[in-house]
Amino acid sequence: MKRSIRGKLAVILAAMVLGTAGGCQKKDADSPPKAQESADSQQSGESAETTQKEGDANGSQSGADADSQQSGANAKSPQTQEPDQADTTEYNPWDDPSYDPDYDPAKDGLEYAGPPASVQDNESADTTSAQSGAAMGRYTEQALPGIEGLAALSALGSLEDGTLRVLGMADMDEGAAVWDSHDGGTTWEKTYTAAELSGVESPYCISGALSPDGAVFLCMHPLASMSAAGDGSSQYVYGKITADGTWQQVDLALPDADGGSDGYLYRIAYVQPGEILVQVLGGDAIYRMDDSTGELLQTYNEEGAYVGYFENAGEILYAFGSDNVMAIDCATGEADPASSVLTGELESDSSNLELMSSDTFPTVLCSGQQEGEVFYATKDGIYRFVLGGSVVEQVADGTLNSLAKPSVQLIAMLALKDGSFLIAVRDEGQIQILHYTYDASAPTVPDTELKVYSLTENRQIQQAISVFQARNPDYYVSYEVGMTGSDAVTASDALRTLNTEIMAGSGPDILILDGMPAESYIRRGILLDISDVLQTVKETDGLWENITNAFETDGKLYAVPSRFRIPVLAGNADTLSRITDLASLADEAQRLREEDGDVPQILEISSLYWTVRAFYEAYSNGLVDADGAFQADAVRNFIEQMKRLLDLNHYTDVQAGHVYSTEAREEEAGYDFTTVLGMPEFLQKLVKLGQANIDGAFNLENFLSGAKLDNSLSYIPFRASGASVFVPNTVVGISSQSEKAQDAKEFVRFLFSRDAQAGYQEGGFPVNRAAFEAQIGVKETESLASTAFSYEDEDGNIVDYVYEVTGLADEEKEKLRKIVETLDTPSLTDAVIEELVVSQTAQCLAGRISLEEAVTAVSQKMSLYLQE
Amino acid sequence: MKKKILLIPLGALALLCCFPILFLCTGMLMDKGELKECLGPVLQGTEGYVSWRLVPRFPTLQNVVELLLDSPEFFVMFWNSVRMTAGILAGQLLVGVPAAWGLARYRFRGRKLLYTLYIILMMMPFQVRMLSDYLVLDRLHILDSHLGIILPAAFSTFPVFIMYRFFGGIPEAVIESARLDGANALQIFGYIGVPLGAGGIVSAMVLGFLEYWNLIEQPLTFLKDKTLWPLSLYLPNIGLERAGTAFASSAAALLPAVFVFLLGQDYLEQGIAAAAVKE
Amino acid sequence: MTGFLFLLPSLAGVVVFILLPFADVVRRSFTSVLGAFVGLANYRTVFSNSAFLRAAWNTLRFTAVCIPLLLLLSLAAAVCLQRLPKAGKVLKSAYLVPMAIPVASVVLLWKLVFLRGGILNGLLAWAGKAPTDWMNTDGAFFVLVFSYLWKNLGYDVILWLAGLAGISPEIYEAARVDGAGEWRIFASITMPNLLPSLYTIAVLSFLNSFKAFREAYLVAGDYPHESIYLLQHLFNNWFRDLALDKMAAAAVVTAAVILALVLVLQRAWERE
Repeated sequence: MKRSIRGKLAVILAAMVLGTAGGCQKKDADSPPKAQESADSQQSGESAETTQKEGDANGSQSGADADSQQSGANAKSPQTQEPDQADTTEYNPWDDPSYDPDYDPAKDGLEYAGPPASVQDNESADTTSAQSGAAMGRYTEQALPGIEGLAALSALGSLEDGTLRVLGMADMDEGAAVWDSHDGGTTWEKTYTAAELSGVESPYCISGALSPDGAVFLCMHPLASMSAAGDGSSQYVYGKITADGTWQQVDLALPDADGGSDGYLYRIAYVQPGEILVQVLGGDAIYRMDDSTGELLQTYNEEGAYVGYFENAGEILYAFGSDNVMAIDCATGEADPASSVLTGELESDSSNLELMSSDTFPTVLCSGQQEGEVFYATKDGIYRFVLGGSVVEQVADGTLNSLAKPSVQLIAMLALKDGSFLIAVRDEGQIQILHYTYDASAPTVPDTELKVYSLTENRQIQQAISVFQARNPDYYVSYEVGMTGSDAVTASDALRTLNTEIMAGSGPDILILDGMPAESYIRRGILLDISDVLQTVKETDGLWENITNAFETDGKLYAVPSRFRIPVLAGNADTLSRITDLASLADEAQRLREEDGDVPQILEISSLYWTVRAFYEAYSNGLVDADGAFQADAVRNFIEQMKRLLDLNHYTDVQAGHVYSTEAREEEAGYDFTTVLGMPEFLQKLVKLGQANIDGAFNLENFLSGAKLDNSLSYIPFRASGASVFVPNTVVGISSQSEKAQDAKEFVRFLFSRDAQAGYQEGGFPVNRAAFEAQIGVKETESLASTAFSYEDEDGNIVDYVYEVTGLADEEKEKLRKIVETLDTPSLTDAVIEELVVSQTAQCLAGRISLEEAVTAVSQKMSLYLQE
Repeated sequence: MKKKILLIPLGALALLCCFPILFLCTGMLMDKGELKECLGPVLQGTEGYVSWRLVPRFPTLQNVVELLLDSPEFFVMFWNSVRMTAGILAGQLLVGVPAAWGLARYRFRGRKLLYTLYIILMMMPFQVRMLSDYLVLDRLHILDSHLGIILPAAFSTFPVFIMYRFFGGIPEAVIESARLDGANALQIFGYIGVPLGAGGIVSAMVLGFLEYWNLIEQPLTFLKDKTLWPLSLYLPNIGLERAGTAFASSAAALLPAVFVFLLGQDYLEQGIAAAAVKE
Repeated sequence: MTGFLFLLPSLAGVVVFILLPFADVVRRSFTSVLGAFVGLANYRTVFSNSAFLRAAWNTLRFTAVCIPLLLLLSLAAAVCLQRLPKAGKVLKSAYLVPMAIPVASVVLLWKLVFLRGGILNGLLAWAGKAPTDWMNTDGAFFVLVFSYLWKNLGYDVILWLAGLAGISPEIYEAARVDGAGEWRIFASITMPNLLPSLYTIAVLSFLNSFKAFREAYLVAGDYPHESIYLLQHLFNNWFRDLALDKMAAAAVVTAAVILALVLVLQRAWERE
């Protein structure tokens, strides 16, 4: 028996060992964030070795290894390349941090300082961090001064002599133009416009590419002459501008059978001087063409696998599909095996491949200065790869600069000869070119680390963190989200984990208390009093104190909302005047239905899930009375009235399927629909009443602009439970267990400052008065957007309509201010109660349980909770 | 004759115990549309009741394929489970078997006390110890690693409790004769105790496997790094789109457990038989 | 002394990983969340906390119902199986199957069977009876008991069989020769010889009754129906709300009760 036990145990052990080995392999392949080197990791020395082994052109170059470069830092030895431009004094303007526009380095006879330590020959450098012990060196970001007159950017490039070049749109009238900078990006001048060279009027630059030899290739759409189609000729103009400024119209021999967008070139890039790669809008194949003759030289991806867009690094083409990246060697037309690690890395995170808009890209790519070197940037940072290599190396961490900022979208990337990078981005509508230079004296990871935690992803916080770090480079703010939504972790689980960390002393410094038991934390002394921080903001910018002091305890402020939403009702002004609470809303709705039996919906409800949540927020303070006792009648009232409102609507079967689903669907996840106040629906006579918890001036601007077309429409604050309720958002607190209370207060002060609150409009009105005024301050004459809708009029004709969304009129601004002044009751923020009530209500409304059952269930669970 | 009648209720009971496996297997082979139809009433709240077919109308291997080929995290988690469970069982063998032997066969002061202590400690529900465990593991710097799960579990008093009884059942006479033959304590333990108590050891291992293969609370609390998570945390809240994969992964998670106790059953029986044979 | 040495490694680990945390829990029962000493305040709070009392009562009720049921059922099954050696082998394996099914799958199954639109209601509707919402009424208790019995039947059957196998067949022979009936034999021979096993099996079943929480939690969430709101639910929720002081005090109370129970059982067994 013993022997057979041993035998069987041996089998099991063997399986284990094999499995472990297999598991390890899989792990390395599957867990890309681990495989990446971060600039300060100890393994970076290793990566230097591997890349060396892969046979770098120069054999001893290493990647951007932060800590291995101590000893070689900023040695003034000249670069061992580019002797071509013998006369040009190459200089590094970034040595001078003050960006003096009159600075003329030639005057000082400055030698080229050489590439940053990162790309230097490191034969003598240690691979472990030398002198100071702390890892030093990282890429710092500066925004180049804006290019005047640039409305949109199509391409970013550099010329042999170091001139930086931008191709873009000057504005609608002037059209496509090229700007050059001869001083490294400090000043730009418009070299020429496509209009003046080509004679085409107001050419709209659809796309373009810049060649290092000075040529420019464009695909333009002459706006002035909107050609009526029919004669088969393309309405798009293709042209090449040579280095000496001559225009040459080119007839591209594009194959017909490709998507058929008659020649709208979505992407153009130079693969080598004289030859371009193009992708037609909607097409999947990529064509290599001669830029002077228009001849089709080669076609890639003929099979037509879906390609969203492409980038290229010289002769290697990277085609981004929906869930994969194809690396194609343009010389052979075959897949490039040397890029497999790179594509694998990119594919591991689907957000690297997801196209969110027509002119920005999730990943931008460019070739490096060395043979086979490829750089790319995503929201996670800047990465380096050497063709044929086995690792992708992170060169700059996105969270330490603007790359991770939610409002930033990438357009193009360029690696400069001095080892720095330019990345063109769009940030909240503005075009910016960001310059990343290596600073060997900056600590790799800033000294002070602050941890911020929130239960669900909060974009304002991400935005604020990016800006804060950009302004305070010696701070490193890490952001942790408890429930990412991609795994089975529930809110309770996340809270338990958070609590263990807090108690163990490794908890976050700053807590965003949305969805958390704030009262419990306050009671147990987990939060710090931040009245002093708020006092300073109050004195400079002013605060809506009725909001910030919502959770005041014993005269102290432990948890302070930084944003708020206002529940409103919209509809006919007359009707609204009779609505004083939830019950009267249902009554009015009923009356409206009796009046008009045809209108599809009385109260707009397009999703039970979101509507119940929105109404809950407006009503919830009535569920628990002042002593914390539970009001069963209030629950019954809530569910009853909601049911009435729902039953008054007529839905088609298709609509019902959506409405009655009690879960937020995937397409809705990540976006809070409780804030949506429809407007076209009113004008289209599809609804009579609307409700939303508006989160910013834009909601109102949109509504009121449309209301100008129908003077009977108006809005009122929704006092569902009779009280003037607001919904607190992004409630900020500092942990009393934090060892960095002062630093945390700095960050919190920033969160409440005008800059942090004025920029990003999602998430709620700012509590900072100055920011609030800035947000609502858009003039009535200024147009923000236009909304188009169509409706069927009495005769059955479809009528298209467009209205401009403008700023608020002064009376409206005043009205809003008055409303905010009267807000005095916060909606119940307790997530447990919200979950209980909302889930039972939704079940009842969807017809799965009766009213009695719902009320009983809620009462029972609530009492258990309140007893605990 | 009478005996055969007993088969009916017993058989019914057996069927009741086994139907979930059938359910999982057939569910695994159903395609999305059929799953939606059958399971809609619960998973999506549509009208009617959940129905179940013995044989799927349109059998498909889609779910299995999706699991094996499209879900890399499944394999990672599977091997995490294997690693953790194997580590724990190995630790329990190393530490628990001698402990049970010592408690069962030797008389020393405090023995009774220790044994009672062991039983009590076995009973503590995890929620109670959660924070304190976390603090201890944190101090030892084994948080967020498999060791942080393996070590505390390896010292669990549960297997000691099971093996205690089996070791207790070994006749004193056998031990005496070995001692007379000149064997020392370790030899007695190794050559007599372990083989004769094998039934108990294997039982403890099998039961331990079933317990630790399904561990949920500890990994959730102590492992922050998702790549270290075991299989038991793989099945998220089952939504309709994932129902097929959920069935497939349940079946996959089920297999090792079945495998283990099919293996262990023989020894369980032999152990029982051995214990039954008294000199 | 050698015995102690055998025990040492285990003891060392137990002290570090189990005793130490428990000592920490005891300490916390006398302090506030952040560490200030408060004496017996937490205990007072806990004993007057209605949620605790309800949870304690539910847990007691659950244990008092399901353990005897399980013991009886599994004993009956084991005795029958002993008489049917061939079929017994297959049946035994069948009974063990529930233990092997991963918890998450069990939860999925229970959802599909017991929720409003589940199979059980479907069967009832087909049979003409009215369907009930099992998980949201007092029926939840029986669902939990059923779940417990279903899962642990095989486990206990195996252990009973082991115990039964330990009774020498000669004694049975002798008794039959003396003319004793089946029941008589059972009462005066089988039962007494099983008593040592009974102790082990009772303790193990008691241990497993705590595990029923996992399924209850995964199916019904943080706040299930009152009848299955167990002590662990309470601990879980207190932890989420950082009410660590109450949790520690309640834990110590629970441990004390279990200790008392175990001591009583032990004393009872000593007498035999």
